[in-house]
Amino acid sequence: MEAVTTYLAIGIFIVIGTVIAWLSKKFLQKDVKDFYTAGGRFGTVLSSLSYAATTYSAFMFIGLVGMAYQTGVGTLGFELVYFVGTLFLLYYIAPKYWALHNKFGYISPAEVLSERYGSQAVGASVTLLALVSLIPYSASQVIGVAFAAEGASSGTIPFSTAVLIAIAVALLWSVIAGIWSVGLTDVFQGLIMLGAGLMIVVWVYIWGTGYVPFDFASLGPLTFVPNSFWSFTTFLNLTLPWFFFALTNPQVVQRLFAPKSLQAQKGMIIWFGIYGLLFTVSVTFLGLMLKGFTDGGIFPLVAYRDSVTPTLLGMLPLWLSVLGLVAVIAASISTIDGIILTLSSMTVRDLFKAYRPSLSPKSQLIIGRLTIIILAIGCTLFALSRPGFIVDLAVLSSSLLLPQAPLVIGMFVWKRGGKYSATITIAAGFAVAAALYWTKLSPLGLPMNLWTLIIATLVYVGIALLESPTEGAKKFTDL
Amino acid sequence: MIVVLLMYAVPYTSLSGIAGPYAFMFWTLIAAAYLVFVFIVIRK
Repeated sequence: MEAVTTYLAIGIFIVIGTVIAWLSKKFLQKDVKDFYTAGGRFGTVLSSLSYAATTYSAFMFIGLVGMAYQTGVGTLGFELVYFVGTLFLLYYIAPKYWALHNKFGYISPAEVLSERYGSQAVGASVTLLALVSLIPYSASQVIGVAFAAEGASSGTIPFSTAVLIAIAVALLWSVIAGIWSVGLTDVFQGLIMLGAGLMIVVWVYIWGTGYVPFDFASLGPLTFVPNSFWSFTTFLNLTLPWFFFALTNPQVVQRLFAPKSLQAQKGMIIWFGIYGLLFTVSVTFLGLMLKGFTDGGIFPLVAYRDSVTPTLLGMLPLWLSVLGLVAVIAASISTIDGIILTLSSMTVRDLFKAYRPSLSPKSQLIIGRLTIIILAIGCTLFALSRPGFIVDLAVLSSSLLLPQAPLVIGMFVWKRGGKYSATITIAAGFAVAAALYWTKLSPLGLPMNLWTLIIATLVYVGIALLESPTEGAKKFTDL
Repeated sequence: MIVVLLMYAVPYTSLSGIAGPYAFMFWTLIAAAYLVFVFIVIRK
């Protein structure tokens, strides 16, 4: 793809998105709640596509396609465990979060935990955990864009330029009108992602089978588990944090505040489900199909798995290549801006407002916008260091966030537990996840994420049994 | 939760070592079936 065409396509995408973001300002009421949660005024379409575009990211287009290409069908199982886990958790927990927002006006997900466990220290520790954990995830999105742009333009768009463009756009679309600009651009981006994804899969199938037949069985060990990559331990380790993603990742938890009614939220769950299933099956099938075409000699052998999609983009007809690149950019930006916005709300509410209750709404919005800028800079620096595979970075983030799972589940089903059980669970779970990740140890042969979950749960239950229940616990369990 | 357990158990036992579209189809169909189940339950 020529550099001029690529820049032009990216330019058109940015202009359309920025116009949408700008027009969304008319919906924004100038208060903190509306800036971060839309004041609970999103309809079904906006809620669904915003949730889908935020949760599905460059990880899908770049990471998952490459992973399916190199490691096989276990990739589909891994991503569909996330899908089923999310539907399961959303069914039970989404209405409870929505009711909490509606009744008590919570803005950040960490604020809910502070209230339930009776101390601002809980919200502050969850916020610090999220700030540390989500930088690798955000960076992985930007890296995805940079790889795609580099590959699709045959290297004429440098990695660093693509990183800067992606971050600048995410920053712009977050700052303009908060969740309104993020949500409405998510709709635009979500449609591009699914449309482009499906078109590419169909095109590749027609193109490839015109030269060689595609036969699943010819892929051999890539079509079943266990194989050389997908041992049961690996599958369990990668799917555990993924299963709890909808509870532990604040950018998606905060989306549960946005629907205007329970009916809109139910619609959100169903439409997200249809979108997610279609998208997941398509991109993993694409990866497997490309491996089949490599074996058939019509698609080059790609050794570095994150380069599979960029290599494909370089081979597609110009119009589809441009559309594919824009889809990767859309997938990344829709996730990064959501993360940055949520982290900004947590910083404002749980690190500043919690300790300075007199902070005016105007000051909160200023701090929020400044935080968005600082986070964007941090994310850029991390991405420019090219720290690793996209899937690995994404799973690392969710692993570090996993210690929140017992806290969130316990919040709705158990009256025991207070500030000590909550804060020590976060600290202990994070320490276990970080230590096992860096030492690569698997004590007793159990995977890192299982250890994190076991230790976090034991610490939570153990200390909660010794601690007096908090006064406000009943309003959470009675929801 | 049974659905999730099946998603772990079936491909690693009954479908283990069988080349072809079976694991792919199993995961796709069970996820689709769960989506239909959620749709029905949520509409009640």
